[in-house]
Amino acid sequence: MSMISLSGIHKIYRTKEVETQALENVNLEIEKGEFLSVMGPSGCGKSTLLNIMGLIDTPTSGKLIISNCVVKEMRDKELATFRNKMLGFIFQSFHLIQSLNVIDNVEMPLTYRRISASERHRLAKEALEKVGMSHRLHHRPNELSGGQCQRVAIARAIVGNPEIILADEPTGNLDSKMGNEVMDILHRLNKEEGRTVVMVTHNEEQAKRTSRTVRFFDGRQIE
Amino acid sequence: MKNQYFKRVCHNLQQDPVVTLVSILGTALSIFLIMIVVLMKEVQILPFSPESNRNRILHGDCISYTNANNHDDHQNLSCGMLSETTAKKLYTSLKTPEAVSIFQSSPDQTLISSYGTALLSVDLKQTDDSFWHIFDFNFLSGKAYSKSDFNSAQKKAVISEQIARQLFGSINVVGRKITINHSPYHICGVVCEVSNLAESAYSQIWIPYSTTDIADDTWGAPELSGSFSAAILAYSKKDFPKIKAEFNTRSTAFNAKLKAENIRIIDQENPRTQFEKSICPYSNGKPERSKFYRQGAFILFILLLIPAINLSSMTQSRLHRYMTEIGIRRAFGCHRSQILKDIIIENLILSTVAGFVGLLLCLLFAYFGSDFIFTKNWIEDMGRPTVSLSVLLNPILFLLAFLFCFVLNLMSSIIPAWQASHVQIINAINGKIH
Repeated sequence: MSMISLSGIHKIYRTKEVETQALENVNLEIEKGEFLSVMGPSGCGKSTLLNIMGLIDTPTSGKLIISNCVVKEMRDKELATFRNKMLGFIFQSFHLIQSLNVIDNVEMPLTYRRISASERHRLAKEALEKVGMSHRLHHRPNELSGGQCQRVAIARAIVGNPEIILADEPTGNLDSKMGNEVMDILHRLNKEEGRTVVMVTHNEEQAKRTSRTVRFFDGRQIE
Repeated sequence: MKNQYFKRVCHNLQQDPVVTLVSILGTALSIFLIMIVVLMKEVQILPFSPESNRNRILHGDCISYTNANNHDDHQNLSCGMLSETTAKKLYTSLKTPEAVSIFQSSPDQTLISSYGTALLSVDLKQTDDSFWHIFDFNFLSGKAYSKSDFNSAQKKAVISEQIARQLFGSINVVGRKITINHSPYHICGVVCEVSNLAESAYSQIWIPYSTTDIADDTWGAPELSGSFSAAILAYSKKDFPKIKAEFNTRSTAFNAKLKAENIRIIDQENPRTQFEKSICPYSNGKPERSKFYRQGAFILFILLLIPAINLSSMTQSRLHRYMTEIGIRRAFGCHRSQILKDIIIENLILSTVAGFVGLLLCLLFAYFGSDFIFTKNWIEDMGRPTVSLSVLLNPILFLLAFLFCFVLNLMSSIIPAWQASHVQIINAINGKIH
């Protein structure tokens, strides 16, 4: 049984002047525990695909099933709860909340669950320990390096124990050393904790380390 | 979770101090204006010494009359204060109240002096003895003139503390002699200063009106108008309908006698409560409560709406700045309703801070700027209006301020909050509002 199933997915962006087909008839099955990389040139639709899988964008047509749940049938509150429990997102630009410190950023997804403040704090500390950032709990994002920010972003993505991690060019803004460290963390999460990871990347070396690679061109899957 | 709201507010203050401060000051100014408007009405209605019994007092300040043949109550009227005779016929004889007093409506400016001192111009009010039963003056020394003093036209005077100190350098002046309008009086009591916002009780010197010829100063036919007002102290405000009914009976009987003189007294809903007196201080009309409420509601609505629109646009521009954060939060499981709640609570914190600032501005301005706020044309020569602390620190005033804060917060943030919560998540993350 697939963890993520996309069938006949289309995404069209419409403005007054122009209509752009970002994705065309995408059919993709991702198994539980898989580490999938998505590659392709800029503008081929790989980030759009990831956003659709992450339920932060909606397809124009097609069917998306995640963990046996048909996403189209869910209301906003159900989708929000589903995102919170099942998915963890890692962005290329980290997107940490500047007004919060490290521990508060990581706790943020847990504030939308009914758990106590002390439990939230404990889980956040655990997540930060996994990524090697437990010594910077009270620092603000603007006091951290790029690699440290991305580690915190990974901690935020995994703190709620999601089954699926979606990473959109997680090493795109990092140097090779930091990039490798981040990749090691993602591989550890995949192999040791069995989480399904879908990663968009431009880096062939990183893609080779994953269990499968799919390639896109002009919105269509070519491999 | 609650800390996150305060952290975001502090962060906004650091990142964008001008916008945040303008936002707070805008709300504070609105609260300040609303509170000044409320305060201007409250000082006319709320009890404070020596008018602590305002809730139990009815006022008979005026009389309107016309030809008996004129059936239009709005044209060809004669209006004014009561003559002593009219006041006694209509009010003094009432049986239901605890006390009834007849006194000079507005103080006169009069010259006084004492042996060896220069002439002083002061406000002088002429009253009967019941005046001191109805209004609760704070006597620093001595006491008021009694019923027998009044009946025997004893030339006694009660003076204010300021006058006592100006004339004698002390408040222990009972028995000392002063000259009021070239006539000698003996001081029988000294009272604390009275604010001229206590319109019925205010003066600086009080004397029995039986010691002058003010009662003879009448006009109109047949001597209906004069210089007097009446104050009626009820045992309880539940007695008001009974008192008014008794007054109406007397008024009808009085009107029947006036028919022979071709005069008709017009019912202007006298006697009036303190509230009715405040919304209709003049004698030529009835108090129109619904008109007052409509006007008041309109003024308050405008005072709320303008800053709400201003704040709404400021909230919208602030939202642009943290649209990405909204997107991130939603990506990690925040509901739309939670976004609405977050934005509303954040604005509530700002509004509460603004509310305190607005209240402080109001108190400072009311205390130091009372000349500007409370002076009315007809009392502008009667000293500086002062507002007692008990009126300024009225808990209802505070509650109203916070209620307005909350309404302002809702009005200014609800639409931008709704828009922000309905933006597509990926667009929000990329900072796009549409």
